Amino acid sequence: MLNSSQPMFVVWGAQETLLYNDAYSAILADKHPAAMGQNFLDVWQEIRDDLLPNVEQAYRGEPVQMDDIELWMERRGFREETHFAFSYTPVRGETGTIDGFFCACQEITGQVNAERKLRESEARARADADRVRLALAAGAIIGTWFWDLPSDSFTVDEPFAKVFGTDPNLGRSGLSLEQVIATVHPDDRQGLITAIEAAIERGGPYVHQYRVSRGDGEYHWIEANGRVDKGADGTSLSFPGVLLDIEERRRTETALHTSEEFTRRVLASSGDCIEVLDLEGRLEFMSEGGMCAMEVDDFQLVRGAFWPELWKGAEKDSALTAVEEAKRGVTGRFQGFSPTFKGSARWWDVVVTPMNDAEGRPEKVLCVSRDITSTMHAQTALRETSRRLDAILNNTREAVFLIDHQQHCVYANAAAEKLTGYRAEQLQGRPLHDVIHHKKPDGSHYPIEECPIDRAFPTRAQMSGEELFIAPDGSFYPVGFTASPLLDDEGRPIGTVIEARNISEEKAREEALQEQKRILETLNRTGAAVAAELDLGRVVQTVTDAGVALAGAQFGAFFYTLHDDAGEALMLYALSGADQAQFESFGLPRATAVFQPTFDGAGIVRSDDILNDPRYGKNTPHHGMPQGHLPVRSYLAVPVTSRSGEVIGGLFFGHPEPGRFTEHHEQLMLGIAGQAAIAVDNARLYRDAQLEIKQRRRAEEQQQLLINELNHRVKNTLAIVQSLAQQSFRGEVSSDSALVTFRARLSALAAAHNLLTRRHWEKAHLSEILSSSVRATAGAASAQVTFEGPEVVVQPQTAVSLAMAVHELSTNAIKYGALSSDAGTITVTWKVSKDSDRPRLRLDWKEKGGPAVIGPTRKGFGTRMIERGLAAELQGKVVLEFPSDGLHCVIDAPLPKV
Amino acid sequence: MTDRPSVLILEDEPLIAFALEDMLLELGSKDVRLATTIAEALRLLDTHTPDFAVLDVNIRGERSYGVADELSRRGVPFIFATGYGDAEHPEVLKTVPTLSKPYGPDDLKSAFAAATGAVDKCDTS
Repeated sequence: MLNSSQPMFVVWGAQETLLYNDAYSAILADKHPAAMGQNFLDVWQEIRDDLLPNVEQAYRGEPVQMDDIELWMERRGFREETHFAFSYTPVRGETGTIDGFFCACQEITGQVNAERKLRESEARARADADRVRLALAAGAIIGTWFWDLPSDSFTVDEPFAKVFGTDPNLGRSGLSLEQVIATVHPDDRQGLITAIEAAIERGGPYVHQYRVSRGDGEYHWIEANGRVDKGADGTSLSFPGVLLDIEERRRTETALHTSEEFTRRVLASSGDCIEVLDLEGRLEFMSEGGMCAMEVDDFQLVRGAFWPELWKGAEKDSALTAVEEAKRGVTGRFQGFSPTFKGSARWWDVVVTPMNDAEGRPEKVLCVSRDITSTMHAQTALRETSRRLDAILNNTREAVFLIDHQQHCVYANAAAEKLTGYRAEQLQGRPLHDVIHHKKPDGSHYPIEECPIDRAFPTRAQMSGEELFIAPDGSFYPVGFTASPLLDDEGRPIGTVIEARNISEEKAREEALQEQKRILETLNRTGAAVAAELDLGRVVQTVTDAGVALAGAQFGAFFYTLHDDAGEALMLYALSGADQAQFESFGLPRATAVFQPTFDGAGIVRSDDILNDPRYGKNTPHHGMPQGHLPVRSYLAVPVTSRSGEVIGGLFFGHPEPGRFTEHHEQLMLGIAGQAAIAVDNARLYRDAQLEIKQRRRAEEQQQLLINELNHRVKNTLAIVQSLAQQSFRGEVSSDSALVTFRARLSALAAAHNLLTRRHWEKAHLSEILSSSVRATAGAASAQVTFEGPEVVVQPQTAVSLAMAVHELSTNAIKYGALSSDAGTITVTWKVSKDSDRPRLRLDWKEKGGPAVIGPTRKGFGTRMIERGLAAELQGKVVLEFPSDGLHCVIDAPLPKV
Repeated sequence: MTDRPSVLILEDEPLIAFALEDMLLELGSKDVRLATTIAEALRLLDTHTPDFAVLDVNIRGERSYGVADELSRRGVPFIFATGYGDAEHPEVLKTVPTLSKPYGPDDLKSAFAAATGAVDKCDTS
């Protein structure tokens, strides 16, 4: 045993002591030689747990066999993998107990290696076979792969590497899955990973389609076709596969799918009933839409039915004929009524067409039935509508035109023919505007762009109004129209409907009404105006204007007589429609045969043509209208007569055309004349009243002035009287004597006042003042006084001063001077010199024949009055001289300017 | 009135002027000058400013307000005398005392007092 080249050992005794030969020492390696004689399990401390059951089994007397224990040994100078088979044989002692066991170790390394090589060879062969098989199965192989799962070695062939755009060298030496997946379309990556994982998990065949980016940057559909092989223990071992180009396949499939889907959808979506019959006329196919239209719930119920039999009545024959014709290769068509399978009433339009085979012979019959019930109903309704419309259009009095988008007339009803005077055919086919609306009354062109009727179409708005149409004879007639745009369902204008009617009569009536209204308004307005007007001039003007307006005259005049304040008759006039200048040179109308009846108030004169009137042209000098007179042919004259019967004047109207005035105008003018008369009367009354009021007011003012003046004078006079009293009763003069003096002075003052009152306190004559003052003072003795001088007018106030001065002179003369004796005389002379700018008065009061004069011892009132008062009053000089033969008073004063 | 010895009378009626002159002299005036026209009054004022004046309002149909204005300008107190009972003076002359004809010495005295008193009051204020 020890020399055997087969490793052997014995484990002996209760100590399980190990004894071995040289060959085994190679297995023990470093444990040798120390292992000799040691406890077996201690020696194999590191695998004790594996060995213990075997050792115990052997000690229980049961042999133990261990196959293919892998051991790494360094027997030939290098470490190498070895494989051994061990068998423990129990060894019994004399007592039959187990003393130990014997083990012979058999090396099986060579066997194991041989087996491994075989297995690898088989796998390669199998992989090749698979590749071929799969390639054959799949057709268009564009690449192959082999994935050794335990070593995760992914190898691909060159085409595969090209597909995925990777380096073929790398493909041979092995790729990672990540590199492969990186070229896959992003949308397909997750799906691919999932499919791969599922295949590896599951094992067996694997098919997955996805897109890969090829060298050209485009993604192409490929199909990976492979299989996962699993070992006996269920672990996945290999995953070979091929790649197929399925781009074309997918395209074709998609196209096919699309085409089929299309056909299906066409058939399904058609509302028509599409049926296919065999040549015997039996129903083979009915489309979904057809089942719906025919109200067939289950096709099986009608499959195989003889198609013409499905029709009723006359339509059955039509159906039979159509099928027969289709069999001969002819398409047949008919329309007819037939209820559906559920009895709904339907109209159908049926086309029966042969379906030919490849040789062109009828093979089947295709029937397409279209439900035309609603069309039939619509046609019926349309016919009814048309009938009614025709009835309306041909009976209405309104002209109706239908105009197309080119403004051409496409329809005109009977009333339209009557309105225009054209037949419908004459109007049709050209713009209506060009026929009846192309000119304006002034002859100018009427552009269609300006025509409101034709604006309805472009503006899409209803237009209405009044226009003038042209009759075939070229005359114009007024129409009222409404133009309405015709819109289609989308609201686009497609034409215009024009309604029109002749409004000549309407307009005439309206104009007559307007005229009537205007007349009434004018009358009312005139009435109101003249009633409110108190100014005679304005009254007659208003009346004349109204008359012209109402009579439709070209011009008019109102001649009327007025009496001025002095009672003199004046003829005045107002004009309308003509300038004052056109009349002024002609003088006033005279009592000619034409005018006389009017001014006499005899009545209205109306002449359609005054030039041909027998009353016209009878008077000299003009024998008719004067040269340059307004051209009058139509003549109308109305007298205007006061309430009192007095003829105030006449209203005269003229027009250059004959026959303008009618009886109607006469009536109107009578109304105007009546209003005029009242207004003139009123104006006169008002004027008279105004005049009286004015006079009264003037009198009152005068009176107030007089009262004030009187007051002033009275007070002034009282002041003078007071002054006289004050001066008369002053000094040492006895009261009796003073009283006499005072009375005399008052008398002189009164005399002066009397004189002035006679002259209305306006002015007085010097001679009168002098003589009356002397007379008042001297009485009879005044005969001794003579006055001589020119007439001189003096102011009232001056007159009073003069009178008072003369009174003092006279009193002095009576007491001491010339008038104290009968022989004395006084000569009062005066003259007026005009040598300077103002005349001057020189007056001499000279006494003679009286007692010898002694100058006054003191200056009393008289001297003061004369020398100062009169001088101041006269603004001149007054000198008293006292020569012994008689007193001499000289007055030298300027006179007021004349 | 003795403190105002020089008086101007404007009165176109000599008889009335004389009475007024007498009254003034009796009341103590020393120098009474008479003008019977407005021109004459203004002429007098050219050479002499009186201490006091009595103006008839209506002088031969004219108003004497021009003279009154001149007097006011010179600060000479004056009164009006008028035969018109309700004579309406211009606004600036509304307060001038006005004698209504006929009037006596007492009327004149109180009007004088009213006219000069007012002015005196102004002077002393």
